[in-house]
Amino acid sequence: MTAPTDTQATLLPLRQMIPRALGVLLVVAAVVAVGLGLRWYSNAGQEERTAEALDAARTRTAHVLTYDGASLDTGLARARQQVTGEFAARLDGIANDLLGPTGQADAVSTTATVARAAVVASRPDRVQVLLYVDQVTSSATQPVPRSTTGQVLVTMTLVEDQWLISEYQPL
Amino acid sequence: MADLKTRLDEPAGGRAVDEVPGPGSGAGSAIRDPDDPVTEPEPDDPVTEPAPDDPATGTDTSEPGPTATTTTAVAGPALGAEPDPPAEAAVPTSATAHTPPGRWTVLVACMAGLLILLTAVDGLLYVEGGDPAAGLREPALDAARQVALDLSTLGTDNVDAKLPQLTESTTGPFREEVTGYADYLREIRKQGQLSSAGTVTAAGIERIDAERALALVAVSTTGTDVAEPDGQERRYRLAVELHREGGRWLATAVAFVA
Repeated sequence: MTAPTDTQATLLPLRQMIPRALGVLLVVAAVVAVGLGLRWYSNAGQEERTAEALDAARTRTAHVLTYDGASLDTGLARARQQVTGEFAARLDGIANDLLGPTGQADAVSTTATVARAAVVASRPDRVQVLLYVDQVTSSATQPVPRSTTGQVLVTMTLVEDQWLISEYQPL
Repeated sequence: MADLKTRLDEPAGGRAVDEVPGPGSGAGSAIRDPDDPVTEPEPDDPVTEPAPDDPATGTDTSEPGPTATTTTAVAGPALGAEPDPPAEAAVPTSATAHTPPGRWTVLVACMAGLLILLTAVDGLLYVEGGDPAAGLREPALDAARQVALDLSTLGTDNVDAKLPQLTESTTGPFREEVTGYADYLREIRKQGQLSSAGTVTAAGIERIDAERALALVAVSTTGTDVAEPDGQERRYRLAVELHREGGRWLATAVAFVA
């Protein structure tokens, strides 16, 4: 009874080591596989996120730059929903500048469209976008609409699953 | 005993397919077997005790009975080939205990191998598949910036110096266009000077794949000529089309976006 247990004592661990080592290898490989898979997934997801940010930059910038002097409050309320961070803080100042001393009297209205958009830099939670913007502006003093073109550098930041404008720089 | 061992050994080895009729019971014995050596140490010592063993496992796996005879026949010579029966006796003892782990080892090894393969594929996907244009983005953007800058700084004063660089960074019909513009600049040089100072204010990639890219480049230029000696700052919205040739991004078109 004792002799076989001895041989088992010496042989069993050795024999068991192979499957155990393989088991450990399996776990390590599984962890590495899952880890790499996740990284790949997030990397692939980055392309998608960037596309979302680019899309958001187009529509939100157009929203912010489109306003009707007659209902600037409504426009401003809508614009606030498109922005975050530094630009949100600046937005009120911009609105006051637009209103100026004349307030809503001048009734300037502008319709903005984004002609082209390109990704300048892309990070998981921040995407910088270059936009070519076309604006058609009309006012009480200038009833004939005037077209202008411009380019802006916009930084989109991911806030609670939404890409919002956090920086806005006309070029 | 030796017969039993080989009988149990065989299914783990190459006989798994032959044993299809009893794999369920085989798996059952695989779990129960580790008890066998513990409960049967004495039968192990006397090598001439196959009979007590047979009924013991016979209760476990009654079906293998018929197949057992065939496997014994095969295993017989294999055992005979082994030179040291006493020494070997010890190893098969544990082998009997670990025939199931042997099966597991194969399974685990297969899974480990599969996982290692999966990891390698994952790695490849991560390196190459994540964003096919990930590594191309920056070079394409740099090329677009450079061409836009070179074009916006091209004047009668620097056309000879700039042209080689421009022809090298452009391709196709657009290269001829650039050469034509250079000729025009050389021509008007006789009448007067035209110079331009340009800067790139921003540049981005509109779309890109492994071969083609479209970049937007916003430039600001201050051009001076006879009509405008003081120069006037102008802002241009450019779209630069690029094609990848021999690992380099070359401009195939530069257009003003009105």
